[in-house]
Amino acid sequence: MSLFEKLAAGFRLRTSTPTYEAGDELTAFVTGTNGSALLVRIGDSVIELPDADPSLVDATVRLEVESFDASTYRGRGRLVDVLEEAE
Amino acid sequence: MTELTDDDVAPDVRFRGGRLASAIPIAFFIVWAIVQSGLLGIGDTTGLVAGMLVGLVVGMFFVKGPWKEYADVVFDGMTERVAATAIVAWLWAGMFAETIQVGGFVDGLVWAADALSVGASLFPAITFLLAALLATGIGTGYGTAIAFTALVFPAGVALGSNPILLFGAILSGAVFGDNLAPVSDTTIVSAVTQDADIGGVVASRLKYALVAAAFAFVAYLVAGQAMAGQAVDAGTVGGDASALGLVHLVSIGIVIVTAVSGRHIIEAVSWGLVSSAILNVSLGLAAPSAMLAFQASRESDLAMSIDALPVVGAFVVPVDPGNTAVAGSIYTGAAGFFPLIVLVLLIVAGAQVMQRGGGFAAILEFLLERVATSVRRAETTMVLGTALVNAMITINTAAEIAIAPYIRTLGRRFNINGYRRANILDANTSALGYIFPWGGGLLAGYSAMQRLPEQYEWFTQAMLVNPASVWPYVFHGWFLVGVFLLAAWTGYGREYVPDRVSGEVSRV
Repeated sequence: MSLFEKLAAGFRLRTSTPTYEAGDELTAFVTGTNGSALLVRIGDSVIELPDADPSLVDATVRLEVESFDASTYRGRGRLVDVLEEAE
Repeated sequence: MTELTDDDVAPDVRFRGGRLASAIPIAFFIVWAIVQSGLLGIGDTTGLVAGMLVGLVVGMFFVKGPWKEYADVVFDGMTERVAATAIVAWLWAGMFAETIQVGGFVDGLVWAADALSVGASLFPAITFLLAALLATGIGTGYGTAIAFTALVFPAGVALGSNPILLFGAILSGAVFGDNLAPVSDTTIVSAVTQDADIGGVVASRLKYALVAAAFAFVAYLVAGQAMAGQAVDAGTVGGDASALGLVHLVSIGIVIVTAVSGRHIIEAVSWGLVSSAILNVSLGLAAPSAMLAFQASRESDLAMSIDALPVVGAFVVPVDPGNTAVAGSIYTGAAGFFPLIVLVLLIVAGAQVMQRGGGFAAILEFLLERVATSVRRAETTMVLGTALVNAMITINTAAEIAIAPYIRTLGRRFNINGYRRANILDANTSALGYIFPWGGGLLAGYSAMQRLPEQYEWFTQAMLVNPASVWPYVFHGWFLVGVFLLAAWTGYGREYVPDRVSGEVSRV
C-alpha cells in the first residue's frame, strides 16, 4: 500500500450497514453465535455462517458471502479459512 | 508492554460496596482537586499530593479481607513503567528548558516576534502551531508543555497576549503532538494494543487531527484578537542585544533531529542540554554558575580554595554561611517537578486500585452490555469511555493502557478495524490529558510557570494562570473530541475489518 493510499484510506463517510454481494470474499472477526450458526457482525449488518465450529467465536476468518439481503442487512456465508484462532 | 499482562497474575482486591468502591481513592482525589483548584483557586501541587494520600487512606477502610493486598496493589501501581516515563520527560525537559532560558532564549523570542511583527493577538495562534510542531517532532507532549511554558509563555505575556489563552494554545499544541507523533507513548500504546502498525496508524490519523487543528487555529486567531491586552514593560527584554538568545534554536533543533532519528528521549534531550550549555558559555549568554552552582560558605577554607581553581571554580559561589545551597538551571529545572512526580506516583497507585478492584471493569461492562447496541452507539461509547477514564487519571498513558482492552473488545464486536480503534483511543487520550486541572500535561506546564515570577522581575503573580481556569481554552483538545463524536455519528473515517485489515506491529 502506497503512502498516499494509506493517507486516503477511510477518507469518506462509511455506512453503519455495509452491504455485500454473493461471491464476495471477506476477512472478518467472528463476533458471536446464535446457537445454531456463527455470527459475523460488521457494523450493524450480520452474516451468518451455519454449521461452523462454535469455538471460532473471536477468531479471524476468511468467508465467502453466499447471499445478502440489502433491505434487512443480513446474509449467509460459508467459512473458507481460519486465519487466526480465538485468543 | 509488560504492563498489559501484569493484572493476570495479581490478586484482586474486594471492596465493601462492590467493585465501584475501588474508585474511592481516585474519586476522592478528583473532588479534592475540584474544591482546591476550582473552587478555592489554590494551584498548589503539593496540596494535591495531600489529597491523593488521604484518598488512598480512605480507600483502605473499604477493603474486605486483609489490607496487605490493598497495600501491595498500591506498591504495584507506584512501580508502573508509565509513571517513570512521565517522570523522565518532566525532569529532562525541565533541566533543558531552564538552561535555554538562562541563555536568553525568551528575550530572543520577544525580539523575533517584534521583528516579524507578530503582535499580542497573533501570538497564541503561532504558539499553537510551533508547539504542535515541536511535540510532533520530539513525541512528548509533557516536555513540550514544560518547554513552551518556560520559554514562549513569558515572551507572549510580555507582548500583551492573554495568559490563559496562551497557556491553552501551548497545551493544544502538546495535544496535537501527543496524538500524532510516531514516537509518542500514547501513539505506540494505541497501535500495539489494537494490533495495528504505527506507520499506518499515524497515516490514518491525519484526517482527524488536521480537521481539529484547522478549527483550533482559527479559534486562536479569533480569540487572540478578542482577548489581547497591553504589552508589559519588561525592561530590556526584546531589545537589539536579545537576538543572540535565538541561537538556542540550534539546541532545540538538535533535540528534534535526534528524537526523530529514533533515539530515546533521554538521549535526545541530553544532547540538547549539552549543546545549550556549550552555547551559553562560549557565547557568553550565561555563566557556568547560572547552570550549576555550589553556593558554599565563604568561611570554609576548602570552598574558597576550590573557588580559586580554574574551570571547577566557576561552579563554586561563596556566600554567607546561612545561605548555602545548590542552585542553577539544572537544579531548579528538575526541582520544580518534585511535587508533581510524587503526585503522579500516588495517582497511578490509585488507578491500579481501581483496576484491580474491578471498578473499571464494572463501568465498562455496563457500557458494553447496555449502551453499545449499534455501531454508532458503540463508537460513541468508545469515545466517551476513553475520555471519561482519561479525565479521571492524571497520566494519560496509564489511562490509555487501562481502557485499551475494552476498546479492543468493543470494536471487534462490530468488526471495526485496528486503525479506527487506535485512533479513537489515542485522540481522546491525548485530548483529555491536557484539559482538566489535574491533567499531567497541564500540571507539568503549570509547575514550569510557577517559577517565572522568580526569574523575571516584571512577571507578577497576577500573570500566573489558575490551572482550573484554562480548560475552556484548550481548543484543539475539545475539537478533537468533537471530531470523533461527529465521526462516530456520521461514519467519517470508519473502516471495518473487511475494508482493510491493519498491518502487523513492526516497531514497539
